[in-house]
Amino acid sequence: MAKSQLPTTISPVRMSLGQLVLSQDIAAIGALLNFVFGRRRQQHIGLITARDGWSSGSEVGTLRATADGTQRTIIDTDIWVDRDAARAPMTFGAECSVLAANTVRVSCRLTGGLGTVTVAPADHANADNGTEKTAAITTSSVTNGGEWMRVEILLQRITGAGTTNQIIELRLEEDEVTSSLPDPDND
Amino acid sequence: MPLGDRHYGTVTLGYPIDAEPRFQFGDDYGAILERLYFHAQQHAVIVCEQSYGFDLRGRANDLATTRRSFGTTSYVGIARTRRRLPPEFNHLWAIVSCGVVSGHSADLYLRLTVSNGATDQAESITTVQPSAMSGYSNQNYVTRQDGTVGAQFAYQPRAAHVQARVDLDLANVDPAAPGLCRVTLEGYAVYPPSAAMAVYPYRASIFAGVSYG
Repeated sequence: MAKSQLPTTISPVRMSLGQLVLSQDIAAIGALLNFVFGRRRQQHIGLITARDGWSSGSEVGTLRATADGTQRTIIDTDIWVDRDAARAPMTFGAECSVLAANTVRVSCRLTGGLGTVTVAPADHANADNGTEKTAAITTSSVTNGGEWMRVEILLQRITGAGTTNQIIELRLEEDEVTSSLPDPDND
Repeated sequence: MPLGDRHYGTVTLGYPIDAEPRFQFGDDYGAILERLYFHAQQHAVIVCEQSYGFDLRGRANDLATTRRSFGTTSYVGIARTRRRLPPEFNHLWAIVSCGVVSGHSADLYLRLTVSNGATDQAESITTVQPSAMSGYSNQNYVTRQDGTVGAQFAYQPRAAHVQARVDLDLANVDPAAPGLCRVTLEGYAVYPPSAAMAVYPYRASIFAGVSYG
């Protein structure tokens, strides 16, 4: 059942003694609670994985993952997805640094109790340098939530022969729950 | 959620609804609202959790290659990431753990920048002094028995560990809809008056939440 969400605030003073409190005020509080509930989103992965060259000045190299013609796993870890978060999609985003005439594909593979899904933003080209490209993950297709899920980040050069194509940064983040807030387990 | 200036640092938990006939419910609903706002604000989140796989005993030439250290007098990028920030958040924190390799007391400068658009940015600077550094030479060389300076010594036993924090007020970011923000952490270290100090970050964490300062 869809539950209404109210993106506004009501002053607690509005409810002070002697004020007229109507039934719609109580409904508004419920909608406000739903709104807050839907916005407690987690960022599961927030990483910079760059080799170098990602800052306007100089910078610290980090994971230094570079792409070659074979799809390789660069990160393999677990994340916890709550039951409410399982009802909302996640966003996987990656920024790459790609040489001219090369393209790179960054994929995110999620494995949960309901199966496995792999998503990838559109391939990164040289013209996309400095831009984050994202892909949506339908979380509910792989998990009911309340469990650890395996996350694999995969990197592959699709075209070209450059050896220094790299991921600069990546994130895996839950989206807002804007509709269909989940019912409790025993509801 | 446009909470404006209403910040809730504490809340009275408990306080059940009194289901007594003719009870004035207004105060109870007000308390529910207060708890609700508290709930909205008190959930600081991680923006970035970064490690660098750096070994302080790493060989100097490997450090030069992999660039996991820096020694300049201008800001060097340490971490950068993106995250969607809810409008009720008004603060970012970054904590950096790093080694500062020298015998001198040094100042570590950190800068945290957030951008949620083409131009809207804010930044902050802090300095800290690595402790217990005095009394040592900063010479990064093996001294031969005859007193002459020998080859550069890769293993640097006089490294000091320091953990520093930088805060950033999000006031300059559009409060109505920060949305997707890009957060950048930079830093450098100097020892007086202005000499570059080698810094080896091995962990950086960035958090977002509500501050009452």
